[in-house]
This record gives sequence, C-alpha cells and structure tokens, in this order.
Amino acid sequence: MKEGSLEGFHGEAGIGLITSRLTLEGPISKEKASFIFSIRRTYFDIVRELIPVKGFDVRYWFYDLNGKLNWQINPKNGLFLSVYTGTDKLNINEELKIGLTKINYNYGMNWGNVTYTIRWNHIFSEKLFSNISIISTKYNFELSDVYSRQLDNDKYERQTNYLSSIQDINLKADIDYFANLSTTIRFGGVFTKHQFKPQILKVGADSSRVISINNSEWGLYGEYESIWTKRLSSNIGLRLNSYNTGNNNEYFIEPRMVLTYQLNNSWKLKSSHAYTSQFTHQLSNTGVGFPTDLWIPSTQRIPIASAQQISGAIEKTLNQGYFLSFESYYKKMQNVISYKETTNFINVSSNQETNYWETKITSGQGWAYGYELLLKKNTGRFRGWLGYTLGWSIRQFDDLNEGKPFYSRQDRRHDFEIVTTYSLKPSIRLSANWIYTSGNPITIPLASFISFKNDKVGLIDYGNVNAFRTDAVHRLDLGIQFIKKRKKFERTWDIGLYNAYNRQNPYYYSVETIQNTQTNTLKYELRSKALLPIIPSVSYNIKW
Amino acid sequence: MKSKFLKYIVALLLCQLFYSCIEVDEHVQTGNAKIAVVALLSPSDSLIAAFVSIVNPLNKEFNVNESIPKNAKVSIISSGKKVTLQFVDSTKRYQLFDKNFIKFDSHYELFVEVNGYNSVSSNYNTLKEIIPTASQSNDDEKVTFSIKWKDTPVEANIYNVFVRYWNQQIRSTSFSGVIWNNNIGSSFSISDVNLSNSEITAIANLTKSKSISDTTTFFVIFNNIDQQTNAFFSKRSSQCNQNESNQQSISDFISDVSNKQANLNSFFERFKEPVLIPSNIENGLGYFGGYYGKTIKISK
Repeated sequence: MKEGSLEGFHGEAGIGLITSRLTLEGPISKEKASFIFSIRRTYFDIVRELIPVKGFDVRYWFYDLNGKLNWQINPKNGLFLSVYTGTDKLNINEELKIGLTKINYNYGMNWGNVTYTIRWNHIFSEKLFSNISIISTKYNFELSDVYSRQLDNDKYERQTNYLSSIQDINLKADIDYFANLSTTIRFGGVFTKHQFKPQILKVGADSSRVISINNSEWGLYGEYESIWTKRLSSNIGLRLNSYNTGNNNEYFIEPRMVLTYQLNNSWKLKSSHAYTSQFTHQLSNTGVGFPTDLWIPSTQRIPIASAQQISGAIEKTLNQGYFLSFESYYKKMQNVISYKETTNFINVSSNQETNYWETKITSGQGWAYGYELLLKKNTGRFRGWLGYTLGWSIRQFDDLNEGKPFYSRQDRRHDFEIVTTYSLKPSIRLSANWIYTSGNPITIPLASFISFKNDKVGLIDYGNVNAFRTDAVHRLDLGIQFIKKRKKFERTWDIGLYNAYNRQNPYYYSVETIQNTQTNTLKYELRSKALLPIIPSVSYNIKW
Repeated sequence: MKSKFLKYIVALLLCQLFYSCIEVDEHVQTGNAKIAVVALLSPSDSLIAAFVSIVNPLNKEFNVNESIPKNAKVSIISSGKKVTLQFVDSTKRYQLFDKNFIKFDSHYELFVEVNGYNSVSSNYNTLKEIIPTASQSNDDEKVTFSIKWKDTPVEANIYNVFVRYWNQQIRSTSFSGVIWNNNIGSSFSISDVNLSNSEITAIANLTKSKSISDTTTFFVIFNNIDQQTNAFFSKRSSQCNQNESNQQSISDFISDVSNKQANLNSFFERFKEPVLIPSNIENGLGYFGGYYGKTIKISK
C-alpha cells in the first residue's frame, strides 16, 4: 500500500449501486508523519434482497479495510504501521418440497484475513539500508450449513459449522547493499511461528472439536544481482530453510538464478531456474460441490513439498509503446497432497481416530508446464494488455486413480484475458475487459449400476479422477467514465455492466435425483450453479 | 543472422513441451447405456454367481424395473468347456453349482449378452488351493490355537482367519473373545505383499469361561481372496457406506421426518471424496473375481 501524503489532505470517495469506497490520506505532523486509510464494501447481497427469488437464492458480499501510518523519525530512520482486513461472504438458500415436506438448505462459506505489520526502515549509508518487520496474519475459512425440514408441526433442524484457520507471527530482516552501479547484494532472514487449526467442527449444540498445531520455520537468504556486460546480467541467490515438524527439524538448500541477455535494443532473452520448498500445503477437493481450498501444515505424517522450476522467455519492445513477451515454463513438484479416495473432509463423525484430518491425506508428485504470451500497450489513447496462457497441471499419487496421472483441479488449458481502455476525450474513458478460462477438471458420477439386489442407489462409476471438465468461464465487463475537473475536486461518473451478456458461469456442480413415481423412472442429472448474473452499476466518485 | 537465431530460440521454447509432456488417460464419456456385471467364482462352494445390470449414464432417464435384465445370456468357458448360468429370481442373479467345472488354479472366461446392448467379457484365474493345518492346546486358563499355511508364490493374496465355536452360554456360534497374535479382534488378516516368509502362522488365544470349556469344539474358517477382487469389494463397500444416507427411500423419508436422518443429503455430504471402483470388464463395468473359504475342525 502506498504511503499517505506528507503535503496535504487528499481523498477519494465513491458511492454506487453495488459498491462504495472511501480513501483518506494526509499529514499527522508536517513532513514527519502521515496516514492513509481506505475502506470498500460491496452490497450485492442487499440489492439481491430487494429482488424476490424463489428456490435458489445467492447472496455474496465482501469488504476490505486498509490503514497505514508512516513516521519519518529522522533522515535515517522511518517507522511504518499498517493493517489490512478483508472478508468475503457467500450464502446460498435453497428451498424445495417433497410431497408435503418442506426442505430448506441454507449454506455458505466465508473467508478472510487480517494482517498487522510494523516495519522499521534504517539507512546506514547511501549504499546500505535495512528493513526489519514484525508481521501478524490470520486467515479464516468457514463453511456453515443449516438444514431443516418440516412436515406440519414436526420440524427437524441441524446446524453444522466447519472452520479452518492459520495464524502466523513473522519476524524478518532484509538488508540491501548497493556495492556499485552494476552490483547489488541482498541478504536477510525470516522466522515464522505458525498456529494451524485445520479442523474445527461444531455440530448442533455439541461443543466445538478443535485441533490445533503449532509449528515454526526459519530461513536465511543471500542474493547477488550483477550486470556483467552491456548485454548480460544475472541474479543469483541461495536460501537455507528450516522447518520444524513436531520433533524434527528439516533443512532445505534452495539455489535460484535468473540470467538476462539483451540481444539488441528491442530483443531480450531471459532464463530462470529455482528450487523451492514449501511448508504449507493447499488441499483441494475433487468431487462435485463447492470448490474449497484449505491450507494445512507439513507434519510428521505429511511431508514438506518441494519444486524445481525452469523457464525461458523472449521479450520484444515494439514501436508505439507496445511490448511483447513469450515464455515457456516447466515445474516438477514433489510431495504435493490430496485427499485420500474414501474420505469426506468435512466428516461429522465424532470418531477422532478415523476422522482425524491427517489420516485423510495422501502425497504424490505433480507437474505444471505451458506457455505464456503477453502483449502490452502503456501509452497513447488506447491502452491495455492481452494475456494468454496455454498450460497443463498434472498430479500422480500411488493410491489414487490406480496410480495413473490425472489433471489437477487447477489445470486450465486456456486462460485468456484482454483488458482495454480508450480515451475518447480527456473527459470520457471507455473500458472493456473479456476473460476466458477453460473449465476445471472435477470428478463426477458418470453412471450408476446395481451390484446387489438390495442396492437403492447402486454403485457409481466416476471414470478416472478429474475426468470431467466443467464448462468454460467467460465474461465481458463494459464501462464508461465521465470525468470532470471542478475547482476543488475531480468527479467521475462510472457506469458499468458486469457480465454484459449474462453468462451463467458455473461456480459448482451438483447431481440431482429426479424420480418419476408414475412411470417408475429415475434420472441423475448434473446441474451447474451460477452465482453472479449480469449486474449493471452506477457510481459517483470524487477525488480531491 | 539474428532472425535465424531468434527462430532457434522460439523453436527451443516450443520444443521444451515435447520433453515435458505427461500422458494423462482421459475417460471417454459415452452417453449409451451398457452392461455391468459383478461375478464371483468360488471353488470351495462350487459356485459361480453373476449379478448383471444395465449401466445408467448421467442425464439419461431409466426405468428402475428394467435395470436388472432377466433374459441375459451369461456363459463361462474353461478348458474348452462352456456352461450357461441360470437366472434365480429370489437373488436376482445368474448362478451355477458345478463341482466338476469350478476348480482351483484354472482359467475362466466370462461372456454376457443382453439384447440391445454390446456384449461384455472378462477373464479370471482361480486361486491355487491352500490347506492350512490347525492345532489346539489347552491349559487351566486358556485355549491356544496355531494355524499354519504356506503362501502361494506369484499370486497376491489376502488371508482372513477366524475361530468359530459354540458359545454354551448364549446358545449360539461365536467368533469373539479371541486374541490374535496379541491383538484383540474377531479375525486375523494378512496380505502377502512384501511378506518375507512364505510360511505364515497365526496364533490365537481364548480365555476359558462358562462359555468355553475343554469339551468345546472349535473350527477354523480360512478365507483366501486375491488382492484385485478384494480391492473391488472393499471400494464397493466404502462407496456404499458413503451413500448410505442417500439410500433412504423417498417414502421412508416422508413417513419419518425426524428420526435418524441427520445426515440425509446434508450440505456436508457434498464434500465427500469420490471412491473410484475398479473394473476388469471389457466394454462394460463391474468385476470378475473370486475367492474361497475353508472350514477345518481343530483337532485337540
């Protein structure tokens, strides 16, 4: 976040149909201390409440708040305090009727984080300066479900909450030394204390079942950035990481290197190699339902992840402010994790032995590779960029999918984005953005069959893991801004159209059973659930 | 010269993928219904049982009553001899008892035909016969059993051993109270994968009580199942357990709103990880496997 102005009070404010925001900044003590503060809140949930919806109702909102204090103690010392907090909340209400019974599913999730930072900047000399920071972060992810059904006066209701959180305290020191015009040396260290709560479960009136894990990690790094010749430059680094997983300390040495070669005034070649290790794992579900990503620690049972990545790029600076780059990358990952086949990650069972989160996880290997193309234009009336990624992401686990490789949930074959703005006049700016992303691979029931005379649902054939690809996500957003400079402020009318052609982009899938008792027929139907339709917006913004 | 060099660089970047591509077997989704068969051969029971059903693809309406065809042609071939299985209405399956046809250590081919569907086939080798030896010794406090057998090389087996006796107090047969190799449990189970010794011994102890005396007669139940058949049935069992709540019928649901249905279709059910069922049926789904069980009276 930028620092608040030391010169005078400034601000930006906007009020609109679905979002409002405010930013204020200014000096606290002239040329010594300043502040900046901003807040933003969407209220699509409130707008949605005004439109009556039957059956399937989606409400979503988020807010974020940023604040920063900047105190220049003396020419050699500066102190910065900052805070960030943000929350996203999604709630879905489904009502249905089976015979005379009314059923209501009210479920959703919310996620967010809070970060506090204190940073001390010290200048030893023109060539040497340091930053020492203490950072506290907390990330929460919560799923909630209220299920009820009613037949006349006979009512049943149950509420379940599942919470996962990470809380970190981070102490780090970064030192930069500018040896000469062509050489920069950076070094430092970091210590992080983690507290993970991967599984907090509350069912009905029962007390919460909480699992808490405390771990720590530290790292030391050094980086040597040098311009060797007119054409050749490099950045070579080494990092030593140590992870504490219960009783053990594990160490990783991570070399990394970037080489840049300037072919001529417009062409540049880049190559990089990096070895990295990671203490915290991302855990994604594979079946139908909400896409959920939990963050969990390495433990004695769950190994530390590591990866090696190489990439090569070619860049060209073109005429009229255009810039083009083409990159290919290849990444090999070890000890990536996934849920075991038979698990239900939010199992309401109270059996701590079989329901313990660590027993639900298996580890394997992964690959990610592909190409990235970027075309940018940063000058002129027409500006924008176009990005395209052709990528593959693959996983292999000995005890999943019969040991055969499969596409990970993050596999997106095509990822295309075009962002454009055009200044019609100094006071009128048009914008149009379009995104296209291939569907994600997920595992869905492809067919069912009976394997015993008393089967009611039968066995389900899923094919292979992640064999089904969801529909592609694409969306067009349009906007027009009318800008006018007044004496004391600048005002902007911002008129926008989110999801202009009302694409029903799937957020999650479910399989519904459709029974016809008259013909004694059944159908298992795959349905996709979209969250955000076309949303027009108008906002009035001022800047002073 | 420079443009030639640039072409090489771009070609090099493109070539990178040819070396890095990982082959992924994508499941071919067909909208047509096909045949599923779950068939088991048991030489000790002289039985072949085959449950035949129609696979119903997602998004296709199907008639529940027509899911189990009664007019399928289920045949098995072994050593040049072909037999046809008969449909038994009470069990809804096709079966055959034939002592001379169903043998240990033999090759069998299965063919299933149903009008209007592509026929399916599979093959299976029955396991080699193992005859364990069992002995019993009594002291004042307990009865000790020793069951020994030799693992068959090449085959990947899972062995399950039980001790069955007549419980005088509850007037019923029982498997409980036995301590197997110092572990409490009703059975002893062992897989021969990574087993260093081909000689396997299971030791069981049973404390004497009013239910068990020196005159009690004990039997060893010895089951042998190959790893693949076991994997199919254990995954089938896991998936059935996952779907247990869904197996509540609509009529049960309507008639009993509040009772024991806490998990029915709840939101959290949607987060279960799918259980993939292995299949060795060509052109269809299901499994053709086998097992055998032996009951041996323990000599004192």
